[in-house]
Amino acid sequence: MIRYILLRILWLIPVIIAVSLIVFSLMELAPGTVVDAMMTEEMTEEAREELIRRYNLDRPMLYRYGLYMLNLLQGDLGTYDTTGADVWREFITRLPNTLILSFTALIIGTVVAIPLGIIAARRAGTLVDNTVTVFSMIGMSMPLFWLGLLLLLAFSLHLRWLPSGTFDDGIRSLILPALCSSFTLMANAARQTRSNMLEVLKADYLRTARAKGVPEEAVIRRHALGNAWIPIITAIGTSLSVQLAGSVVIEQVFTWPGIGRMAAEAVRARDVTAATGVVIMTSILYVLVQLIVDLLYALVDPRIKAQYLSAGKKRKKRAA
Amino acid sequence: MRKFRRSIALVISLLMVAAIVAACGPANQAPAGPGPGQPAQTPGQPAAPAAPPAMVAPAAPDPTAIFAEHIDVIKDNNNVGVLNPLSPAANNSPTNWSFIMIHDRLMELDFDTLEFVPSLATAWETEDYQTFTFTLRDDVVFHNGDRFTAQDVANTVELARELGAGSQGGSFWAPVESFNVINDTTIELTLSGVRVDFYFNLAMPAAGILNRRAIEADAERGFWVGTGAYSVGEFVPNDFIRFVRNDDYWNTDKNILTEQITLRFVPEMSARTIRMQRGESQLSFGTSAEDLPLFQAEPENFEVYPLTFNNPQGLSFNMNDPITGDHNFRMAVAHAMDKDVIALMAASEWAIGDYFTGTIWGYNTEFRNNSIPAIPHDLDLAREFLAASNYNGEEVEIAAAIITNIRAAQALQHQLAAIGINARVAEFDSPGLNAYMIDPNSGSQMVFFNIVMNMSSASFRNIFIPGGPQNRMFYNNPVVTEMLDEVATMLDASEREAHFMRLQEIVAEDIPFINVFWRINGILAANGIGGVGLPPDNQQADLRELFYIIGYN
Repeated sequence: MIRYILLRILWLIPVIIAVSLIVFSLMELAPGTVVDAMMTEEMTEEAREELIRRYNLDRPMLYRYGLYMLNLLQGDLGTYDTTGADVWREFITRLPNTLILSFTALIIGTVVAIPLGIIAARRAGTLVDNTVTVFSMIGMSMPLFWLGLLLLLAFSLHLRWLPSGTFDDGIRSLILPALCSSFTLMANAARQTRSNMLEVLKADYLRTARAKGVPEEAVIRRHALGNAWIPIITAIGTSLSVQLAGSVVIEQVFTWPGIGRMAAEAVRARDVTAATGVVIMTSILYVLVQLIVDLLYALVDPRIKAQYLSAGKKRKKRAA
Repeated sequence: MRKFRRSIALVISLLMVAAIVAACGPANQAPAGPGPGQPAQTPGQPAAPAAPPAMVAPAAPDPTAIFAEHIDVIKDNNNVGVLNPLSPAANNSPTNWSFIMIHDRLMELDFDTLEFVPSLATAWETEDYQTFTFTLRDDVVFHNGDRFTAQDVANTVELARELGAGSQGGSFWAPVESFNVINDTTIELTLSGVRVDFYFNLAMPAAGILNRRAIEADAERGFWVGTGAYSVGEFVPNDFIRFVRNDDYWNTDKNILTEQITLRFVPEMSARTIRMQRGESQLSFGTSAEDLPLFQAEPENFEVYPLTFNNPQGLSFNMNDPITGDHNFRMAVAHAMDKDVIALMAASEWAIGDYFTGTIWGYNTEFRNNSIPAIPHDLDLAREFLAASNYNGEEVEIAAAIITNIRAAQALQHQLAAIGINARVAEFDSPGLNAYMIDPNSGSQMVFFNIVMNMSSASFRNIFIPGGPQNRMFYNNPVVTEMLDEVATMLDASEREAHFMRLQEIVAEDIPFINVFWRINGILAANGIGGVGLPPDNQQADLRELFYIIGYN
């Protein structure tokens, strides 16, 4: 198991190299550089050329990329090309805001979606099932910026129950962005839960359990749900990864000071160092969440746990 | 039964869709006609661009009024990433507004008279516009308690040299070759050459006096230390700045009434509107023209102040391009465009076509020549010029970046089609457009954008000389260049004026740029807001005396 975890963590190295190279290349392809983003009416040609030299924009992209990677090898994400601020410090300042938002959305989404999915599966073909299906379809197809604006209009402007965003009003500020953020997750997980439960509910072992007199609640909770967990966890894990990777849209609509806005601002300012830094860090987060999801598989499914353990035993046997 | 269920599901779905559509409707119905605060000028009216109100104020601050301790101000996503005047990234309007709050300059510019008024310097003199002597105040302290002396001016000059490459602050102090600190309250600055516009440099927000000791102690926050009316309480880059009143501020002539002011950057336009509607913010510099009627419908709660910036939105031509470099082609475009329609398309009622004069000059820039006639909208003349040009029906490009200019470019595209010019619109973001226009090999032809024009006539050197940072047209008229070289050393103001008048005529004949429309920006304030300085130069909005009277009506 430990070997598996280490191997997955080692996979981060090629991921980081690939991601940073892609970001550097995309920023290179975009028209304009950080110097163009900083142009003012007072900036003379000499000053512009000095800045171009300062940021090594007169050198090939691979040279700048090499320099960046050398710094990264020493654990340094660098400083903003534009402001000179430390990228790591900025990221770590904003990360808790994104974590709070993402995990709140995760909790809301999971708590609502899984019971909804179970109810829909148990009452397949009824009005309840159709309603959940329609809700899921809307949740998955509605653009988040649109939903965010609707929530703002409804709860902030018309009903005046909640603030319109920013981070000033404590937990009340969190409700709307978290609700909006959870919507896709909720829809996705509800749909996934419903379809897996439908499949499992037809299985022979459930019929056997019922025939043995196991109460229906226990059949659903212990036998059905236990076997339907894996795809549900996958759906939730993927949604969480996407949210952690920076809910740019949510953070823009609700003026939420998270890493999504950091990334958006870095790209807008053509700040390659900041953009690459934030993308690398979010890629690491993405990989770690996926790793946790994989480990959760072993927790909920004894067959997968047994696979991990038997692989370890085989290796030990070979070594002996 | 199945049919019944399906019908129920369908009804529920339709209800949900209806609810969504209903929620999208406006909170209040906008009035059909113009409301209070709407600009007096409407497209087509032959009047000069509106002079902005110098101050937004419902009344003189009443000593019995109850002033809010904290005011929340919205700015759009044109945000502040750094509060360091020597950083190249400190390059936009809210950054300059912030500098005005925290750093004092040696002198300030009175926008009504275009004269300089004392700030940290009480007097100044020069005989040759190369050596300047400043007498300074002796009762000023920095936010960190250090006393302000002439040495701080010298330190600022040195810091600008050491750290200011490419920055606004660096460029303002760059002409200083040497300094001589005579005593604590007197300093002499000697420039590398004659600079008749040097006072303009010193009055710019990014030319504030810095505290070297603070900067050496903390390379980031040290730049926040100034002598200004407010200090920085909290700054989250690109999100907000909270200013805290400096209770020891030296300038007792100013009414610094508010304890805390937050300048907040809200990227989403609807969120800006909702913040104002909910009263979470009291002043907004970023409400969209489309949403302003919502507030005009509530005159008991809100006021909209029109502000016209000094520089018009316009169309630039690449003078090196074989098509747009042809004078006849440019004249054809100028006659073909209906500026009023373009203004209307670009910003509805919040813009006005520029048929006032043909000069390419800020409306409040010194020595403006108002006698140059504007080129009229005349399709027959346009066709005649086009026939005389070397245009052969090929596709020409109009590039633009921000939404207002993109709409304007699209309107122009249709108008050019009427005389047979086949144009397409290329959309960019701002850095992309900058790079595109600067690159002589990019193939750009026409670009809708605004040349930044400040109050100093000398700034037009940047616009009209070959290689000037604002010369995106690749304009190169040796006569104009020579005139600009000559005027830079003219000490007599009336001589300079005559020179600039003639220069504007020559440039207008060359037509490298067309002033198309003046944007009227609606500054939205809750009733009770006052004390905002709104100069035509968008870079210098002054929030130091901002106040909000609670319960004002």
